[in-house]
Amino acid sequence: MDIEYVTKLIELVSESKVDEIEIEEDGKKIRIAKTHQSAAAPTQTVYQVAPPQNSLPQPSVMPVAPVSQTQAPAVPAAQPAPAATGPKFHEVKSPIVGTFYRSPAPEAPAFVQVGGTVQKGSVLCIVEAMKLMNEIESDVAGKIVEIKVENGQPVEYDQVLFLIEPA
Amino acid sequence: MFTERVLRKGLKTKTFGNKIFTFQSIDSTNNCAKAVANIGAAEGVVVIAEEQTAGKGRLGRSWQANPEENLTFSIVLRPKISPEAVNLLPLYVAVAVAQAIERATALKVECKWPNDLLIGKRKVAGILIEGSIQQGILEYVVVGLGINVNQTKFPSDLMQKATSLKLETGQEIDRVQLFRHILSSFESSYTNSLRNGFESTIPTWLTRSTMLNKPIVVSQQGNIINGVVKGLSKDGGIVLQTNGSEKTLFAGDVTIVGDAADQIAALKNEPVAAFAVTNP
Repeated sequence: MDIEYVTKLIELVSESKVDEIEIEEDGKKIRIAKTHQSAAAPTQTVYQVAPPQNSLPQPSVMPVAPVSQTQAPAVPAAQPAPAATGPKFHEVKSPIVGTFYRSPAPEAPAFVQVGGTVQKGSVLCIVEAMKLMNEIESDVAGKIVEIKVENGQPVEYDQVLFLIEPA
Repeated sequence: MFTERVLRKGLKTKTFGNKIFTFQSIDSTNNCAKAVANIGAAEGVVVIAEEQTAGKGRLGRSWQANPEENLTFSIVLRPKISPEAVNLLPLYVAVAVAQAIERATALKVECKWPNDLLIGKRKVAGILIEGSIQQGILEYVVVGLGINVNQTKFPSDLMQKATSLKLETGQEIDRVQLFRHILSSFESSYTNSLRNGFESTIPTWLTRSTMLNKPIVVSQQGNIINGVVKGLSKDGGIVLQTNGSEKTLFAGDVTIVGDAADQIAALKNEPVAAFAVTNP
């Protein structure tokens, strides 16, 4: 992300009706927002660079060993819920037939992890069909409870990809 | 460097290119086009750059092109079609760009499934399409095009697989004129396809392909499928005859058996769909 790119984005936000955008790329996150201090104050453009959200160590794969029912999990948020079904959780389904990818490139970090929180509009995964990379966005804000498909696997139309506990 | 004023001068389109963001250098025109689409950029907005510092192909593969010699740009589209119908877009874009190049240069451009453009078995253009889907609705697609225009020297590992319009015609091509040709050709076929359905792309694509009845090898995440190409399905998949049965595929890197450039790539264990595209 170079400065010319950011400058043009700021210009674009300033001219547009949009109040705020957030872009995440290569672990860097940029938020450009108009702030309305008071009715009299002029519109101000704020430029922030936040550290990557997923900089904390997180398990990249689900635990293989079964967790004993009597044993309290040490890090509950990072464990997949064993009975993550039912109406409590919001299902995100694949809108197309294709190949499921959890990250934008093989070496890149996954878009989301189990236990992570997402906003409405956050990118959850890519489903590729015909070399067209479709970013699938979350339609709710909440916490990722389960990721139902392995990276690189084929998915069918309407197949459940994620379970999200709405915030 | 390109300027919006020069690019738009004499451009006879209704919406494509109404707004053009020009950069001397940018990470990737697709990334920028996605960013502007995310904040509401209208259909037809173009992002063009002389140089991409992180030009990309699929799945993190990189796209290399010399600055000042080629065309690398992205267009925002907002087709009101179902996500399944989007499957036909890569074929459609390949045909639209092939037609535009032919009109501008009189060269014959072939299509290789799903969206590669070849001249004499060598890749002349790369297409990367990225879409955004929320609640089953396609919000936008960004069509990224990388066209080898006046570049005549390629890295040695790509020399067998890559070509450019200058190498094929022996003449320097006016990049601004080519850009205008592509935008207007693209817009007119896009408008027609929205009206008549993108299915009409399939017969046109087939007439431009030399893959019919040829044996191919498809690699899907390390899974290898051999077969003979029988045609395309109505939703754009490639139909293969394999061991007496027919199979329709929607993904994979394709190697045409018997094509020298493809075989070199196969020997090196590189995906052929990725010339001028190298694994980092």
